[in-house]
Amino acid sequence: MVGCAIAYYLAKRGIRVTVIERSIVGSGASSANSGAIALATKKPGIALELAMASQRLYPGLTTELGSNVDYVVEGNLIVAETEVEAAHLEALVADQQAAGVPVQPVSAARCRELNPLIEGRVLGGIHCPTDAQVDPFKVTRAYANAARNAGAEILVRTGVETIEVVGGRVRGVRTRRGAVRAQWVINAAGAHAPEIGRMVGVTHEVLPRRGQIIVLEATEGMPTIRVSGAGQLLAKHGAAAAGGANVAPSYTSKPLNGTVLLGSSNEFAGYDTRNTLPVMAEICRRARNLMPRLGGLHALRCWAGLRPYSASGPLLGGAGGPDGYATAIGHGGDGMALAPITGLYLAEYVAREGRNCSLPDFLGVLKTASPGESGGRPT
Amino acid sequence: MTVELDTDIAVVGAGPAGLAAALAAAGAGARVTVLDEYPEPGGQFYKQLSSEFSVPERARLDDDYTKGDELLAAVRDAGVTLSPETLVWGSFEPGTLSVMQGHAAGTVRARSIIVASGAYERVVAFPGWDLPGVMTPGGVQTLVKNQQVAPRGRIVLGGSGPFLLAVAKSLIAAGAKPAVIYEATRPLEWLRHAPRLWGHWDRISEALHYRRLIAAAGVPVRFGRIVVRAEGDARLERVVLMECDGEGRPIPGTEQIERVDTLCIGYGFVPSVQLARLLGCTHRYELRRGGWVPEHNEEMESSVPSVFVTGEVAGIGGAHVALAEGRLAGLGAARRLGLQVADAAMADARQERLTRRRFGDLVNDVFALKPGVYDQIGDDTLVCRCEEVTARQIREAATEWGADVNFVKGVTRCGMGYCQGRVCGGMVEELTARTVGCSREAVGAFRVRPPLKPVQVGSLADLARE
Ligand SMILES: Cc1cc2nc3c(=O)[nH]c(=O)nc-3n(C[C@H](O)[C@H](O)[C@H](O)COP(=O)(O)OP(=O)(O)OC[C@H]3O[C@@H](n4cnc5c(N)ncnc54)[C@H](O)[C@@H]3O)c2cc1C
Repeated sequence: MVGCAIAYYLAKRGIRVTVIERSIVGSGASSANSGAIALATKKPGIALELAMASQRLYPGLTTELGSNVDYVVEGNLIVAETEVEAAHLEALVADQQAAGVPVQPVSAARCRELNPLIEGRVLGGIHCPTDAQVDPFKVTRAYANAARNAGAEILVRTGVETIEVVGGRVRGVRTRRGAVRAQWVINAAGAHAPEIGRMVGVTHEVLPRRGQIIVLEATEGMPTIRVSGAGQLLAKHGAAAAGGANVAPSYTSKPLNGTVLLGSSNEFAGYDTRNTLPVMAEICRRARNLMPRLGGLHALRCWAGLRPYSASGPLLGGAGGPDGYATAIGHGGDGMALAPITGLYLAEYVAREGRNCSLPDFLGVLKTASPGESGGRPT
Repeated sequence: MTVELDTDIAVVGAGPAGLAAALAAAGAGARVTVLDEYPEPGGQFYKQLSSEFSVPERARLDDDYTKGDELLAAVRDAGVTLSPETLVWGSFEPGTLSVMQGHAAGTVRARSIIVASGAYERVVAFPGWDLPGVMTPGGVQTLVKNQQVAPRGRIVLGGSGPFLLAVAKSLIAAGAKPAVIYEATRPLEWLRHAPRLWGHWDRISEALHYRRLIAAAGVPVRFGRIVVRAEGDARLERVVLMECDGEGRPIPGTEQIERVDTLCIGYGFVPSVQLARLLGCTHRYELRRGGWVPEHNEEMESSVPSVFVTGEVAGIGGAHVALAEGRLAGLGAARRLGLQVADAAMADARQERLTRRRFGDLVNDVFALKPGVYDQIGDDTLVCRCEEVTARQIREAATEWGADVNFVKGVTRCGMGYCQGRVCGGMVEELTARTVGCSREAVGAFRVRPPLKPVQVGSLADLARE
């Protein structure tokens, strides 16, 4: 997803770009997530700022890219099931409000009103009515198609094996199918980013963090608002134990096809993308505790994906190593939400040869640009 | 409530292959448990036959039935544990199967697993196949046998393969005589296989018996014709048939309209490999045996140690193959556990299997699926009924990025519904491969993820440690 977004914005500027994909378009984490384009889950700081900038791009994306990404604003409710979680939310909501996020603390009763499936014990929550969702696969594909239409080349089933460096500057990559010459090599390999980093002798502190999801049978009349337990944020914001499966409940209704996605876990389990029984069972138990009526629905399918976890947040732009090497990695559990802004920024970064375009400056300029203008060139 | 069970050998599937495997393994001294999602052991084959005739007729005519009864009795005598109404829905660790009994989830641990999960019907769409009144042979068989309901009105059978004759026979017995049977292949095309018939006398007489029974009932069989379209207002009223060439391509100017209330149409079977794939067995594409089949060695052990595959799941071949191959797998699995199995018994089982497979392959070749049949899937024809995806959507997605069925699935949602692609999977693979002109291997198969069949969230939740 991140790679396709970068390619699109580069190609749109007339820069020749080739995406090299080991598998197929959208085969990684980008087809394994629940597609939340949320602000309520973001910790204030660069992650939130990126998310806000990205969220401004999303509503226009279907038109911009010319194919539907199923963008739906359904709102987002994060509930506290324990005192610790309640305290975390209380601190978070204040900071988010200060940063301009339209998020509100809500009572337990209001939580039940917002999503009547909630019948289990909750202490309260925070609600962000502007949070949205997309079909992650469709976004990835839309970027890929739009990139191709704008002149980008995308090589699928082609793995990068080595990166060529001459005189301290990258000269291209070697793949199973031959060499691709380039002035710039951008690492957008998601959870596999360290593997690419090693090719230029750079260590990236990115770890695969597994998340498992269960899909339920299509059912009519499911409430659309997304609900998740604040435990997910504790795992994400680093306040929970790094070990263990860190299962917290999440409910994402997909109104366009009637299904519900139940999540999720935050596990460090290497590159294993299989589902595990204890986590699947725990996801179901937590979902049933919060929303007992879900217990009667059928699970149809499950999957697992690898979040590209970075303790310090996304690593965008220059990353050490040879000249011409840049990264767009470490998006963790936010890569869907952050991909458009990441693409826009990396295109800017490359266009300026990596000079005079720090991320904060870039975001600052974007903010003053006219709203709704996506892909616009900050001056 | 949860289920926990330990056994030497877990056999998944209580059809001929599974029962024969269980019997052989138990005979060699193994503790064997047979798991099957249905309430009655016997699998598709015996289940459908069990009520076919009254007892005297059974004794007179069809030794398959009596064999089914005998086999079941022998399995019980051998001390095999039969575990009906037990759905195997997943496997998360080597040597374990996740099961569901009613709403109670649980785990079965076994030193060896024998996958005898059978086959399901191959569906090939055509315009109008989704009209009420169009059914599969298996669907009709179940209706007639298990629910004692005869399909309504004028019944026409179409498609290809010996199962059509079996269904015709059931319909005749139920007093719902089909008007006509349209078989896509032609006896002339069969001739080149004739020499291979030598020696398979029992199977030949069985085939002749079916043929005679249908002829005696006055049901005509017309060869070399396929259904190209079904039509009707809200429900099926007529079908359009055309003569086809050896490749199954309709010959212009041969349209023929047949008034019909129930069309029963099928093109044979596909191995039910979901569990074998979930267990990690390597598969290869073998059209002759129905499609994707797990690879195995001489004793039916798959690429995953201690996982055996047998019967239809290892390649379509019919009940006789299943019986012979089941025995071989049972002996192989017992031997794998370190139990004594005489070399002579092993050799005999191997030989028997080869003989039966040879005939099975012959039948497969005679009724080989003609490629042209897929050409009837019009752009506007629904391919995935669960998610309402048309062939056009699939063809378009196929050309987008490197022709991969999982990409096609992501774009169109085909295969994401309640049946999880069991019905449309083969069609999506075939359409994808044809659209870009590459092989089935190249486009791959839908990824298999648990649960293999839908299971309740509450049942899964019960498995969690509080
Ligand atoms: C369960 C789960 C739920 C999530 N929910 C959300 C959510 O609601 N909202 C949200 O914003 N984010 C969510 N995420 C996070 C999001 O999915 C990721 O952050 C995002 O997909 C990362 O995108 P990416 O392009 O960096 O990585 P990927 O999509 O993984 O893409 C990396 C690509 O690089 C390719 N590659 C790797 N190595 C090589 C090589 N050597 N040569 C060539 N190609 C290579 C891979 O094949 C892959 O296609 C979730 C993640 C998970 C697992």
